[in-house]
Amino acid sequence: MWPKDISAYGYWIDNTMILVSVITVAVAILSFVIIGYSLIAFRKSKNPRATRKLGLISKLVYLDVVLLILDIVMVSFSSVGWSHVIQGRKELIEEHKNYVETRVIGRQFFWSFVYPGLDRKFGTNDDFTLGNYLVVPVDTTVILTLTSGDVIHSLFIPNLRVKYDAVPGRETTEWFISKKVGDYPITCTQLCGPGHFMMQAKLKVVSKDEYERFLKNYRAWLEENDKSEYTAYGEYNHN
Amino acid sequence: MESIITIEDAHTEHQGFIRRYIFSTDHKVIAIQYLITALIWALTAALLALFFRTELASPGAILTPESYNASVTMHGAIMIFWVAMPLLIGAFANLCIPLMVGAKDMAFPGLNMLSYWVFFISSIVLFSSFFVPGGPAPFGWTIYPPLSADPRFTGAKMGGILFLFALILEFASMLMGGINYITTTINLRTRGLSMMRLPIIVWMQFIAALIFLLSVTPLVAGVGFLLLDVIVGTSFFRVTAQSQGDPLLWQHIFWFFGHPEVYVVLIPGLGIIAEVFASHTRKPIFGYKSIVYATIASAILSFVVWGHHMFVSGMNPSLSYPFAVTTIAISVPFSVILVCLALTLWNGSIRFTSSFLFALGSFVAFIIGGLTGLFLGAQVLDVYLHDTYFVIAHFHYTIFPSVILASFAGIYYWFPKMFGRKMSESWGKVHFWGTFIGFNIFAFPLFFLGIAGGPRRYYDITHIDYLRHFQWIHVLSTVGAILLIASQAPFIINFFVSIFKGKQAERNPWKATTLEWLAESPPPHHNWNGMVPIVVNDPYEYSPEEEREDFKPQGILISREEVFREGTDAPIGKH
Repeated sequence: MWPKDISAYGYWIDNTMILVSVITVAVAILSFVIIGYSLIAFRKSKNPRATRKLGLISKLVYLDVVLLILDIVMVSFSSVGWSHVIQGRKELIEEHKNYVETRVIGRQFFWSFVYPGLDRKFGTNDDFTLGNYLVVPVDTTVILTLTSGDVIHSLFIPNLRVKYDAVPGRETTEWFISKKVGDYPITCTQLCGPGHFMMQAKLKVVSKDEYERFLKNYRAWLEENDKSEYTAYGEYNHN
Repeated sequence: MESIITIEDAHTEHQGFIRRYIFSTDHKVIAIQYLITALIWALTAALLALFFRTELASPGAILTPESYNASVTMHGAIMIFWVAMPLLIGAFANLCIPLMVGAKDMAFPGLNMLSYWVFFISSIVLFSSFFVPGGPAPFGWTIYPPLSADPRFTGAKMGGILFLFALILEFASMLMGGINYITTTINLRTRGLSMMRLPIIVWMQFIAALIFLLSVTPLVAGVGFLLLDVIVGTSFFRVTAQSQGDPLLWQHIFWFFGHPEVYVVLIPGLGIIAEVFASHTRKPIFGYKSIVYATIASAILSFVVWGHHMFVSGMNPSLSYPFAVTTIAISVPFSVILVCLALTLWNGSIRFTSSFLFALGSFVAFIIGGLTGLFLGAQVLDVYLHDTYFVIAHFHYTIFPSVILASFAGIYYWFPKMFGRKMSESWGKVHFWGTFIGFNIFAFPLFFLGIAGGPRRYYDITHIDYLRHFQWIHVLSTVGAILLIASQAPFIINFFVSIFKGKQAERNPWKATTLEWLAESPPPHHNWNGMVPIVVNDPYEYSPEEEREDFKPQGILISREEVFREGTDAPIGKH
């Protein structure tokens, strides 16, 4: 049910999921056992007159202290994870000089991915745009710069544990390192109009050499590899 | 002093039908008006849910993507603003507060009547939006611009405008109610009723009214700006080639209101659970003061958690640390409240009436809802779970118990006080089991759809490779929803038949302690039939050890002459 993790930092999300699940399921079972026992043991026919004194069970209020400690554990773990997953990107960009950048523009109802071409610079002649088709190299830092041409969209790649909103009028950034070659789904998770559910794209993680070939001549590469799947939207017009 | 006492109750008996039952200033009549309007809206929103759940189970069967979006938007907006608010804040606060503080009516009865009729107008405005070209608003109940700010994106201009106007009217109406609840609680408490002797539900309604008052104002301004964007074409939240508004500003304004609002509809529900638990376990609420202080703490905290709706929205990521801390921290006061309620069951003598079953179901389901909130509050996990079905399942497990199940508990509990008759217990139990089982079949599987990465507000998932295998979850969930909605039939019949043909109820059918049970069932206009209730005990004196009777009422009724005989320094409150 949980999609396979192919991301370099996905373990933070998966481990937080396990941590929070264990804590919440334990608390839920404990409370349901206590409530269930009370309902059976203290029903009217069994216990015709209530007694106000609680005895030892009133110590259960210290459960709140335990919960407070568990809360601190969870929020610390999650915050450290967040600093790796979202905030870590600035240092990573400096560390990994050889990162790959792709611009993402959400529109009703498709994603445009703008590639910088071989010179790795945007705004030059070899830029090109593919619709609903994101190609990235494996084991490399990928920076996505997101924006939107109309309403708010949200780029969600379940296998990479990536989700970030594409907001009109501002640029947001998202990064990831994919560790496995393959095809993965990309969806939109922010209601953007009647075609929201159709706003699907494809992520293709390829080897580094393959990526170079893709940038060199993407038309030939697409003919060769994924003829049927893509729709090219031509040069993206930055209005 | 003289003027307080000499107001004659009798003249109200000569009021005509319209003044008495339609344009009434009597808080009990207004409570019933709110209740019935809210139940009609609940049925409407449930039918909308039935449409789009059927649609999700068999894609393309009855709705288009446009009407699907409009249905989910209207379902969410109606359930929160036109069902939860009027039910909990409108009906139960109106019914309970004056009776439970021993007052004759609200502090401002005229304002109270205005509150209902403004709400009624907002209902008509909203309802009319279903019949305009382009249909009702389709941009999600959270109304995120630019989708909502520019009709070109959705094609529902008139529907959107009517929806926003209806929203402003609804907020105005609930504010008028809230002013009444706050003033009545502070000023009209009868002699002997200190704040720390108030029944829990009055505390909860009081706190809810306060946080609503403090949070809604920025949103009303925001809705005004959004209306300008839609109608005049300004750019508060829109981004165009010529102008640069900020779509995120709306999200801040909305969630600054939105999170306290969640507690506005949650806290009174917990209050109903507390009342029903106390009278049905024959025990005082465990940790009365802890519950009150924990509620105040969570109310204050609720103002500083709104960023948890925006972790991945493009807001500065550093802000997520304080928001995650406050969000997780809010689980502590809530766990205090829940532990206190759970311990109220211990050593009790539990009566399993329909009312108690609903309160218990609400309590149990809410535990699941509260705990799953921790998944979403942990910000790194929210990256994955945000805007998936996990969120849908989570908030249905919080809102449904605290609004719908708790309101049913309240309706079965106070029905004798409202109408002077009892509802059928056996049909009540059928209603409970159908509702509770149906709800769980509907909501619980959706957690797994969210974990699988299923985004919310998707018209169809069968064309998506990684979600196609989870279509069975939608089918199962729809089966649950159908059971849930079908189970409301016994309630509707039971409710209306019992109003006219139910078993006659005595003053205090549950042998409960709080003041409203001293009044006749139903209480006459001005409630106390010329007598004056004064408070002599704490609110939940159940099973006192030294006495044979298993409860001591909180107050006694005395005549007006006695009030003066006892000395006039402590007034009974201005009426």
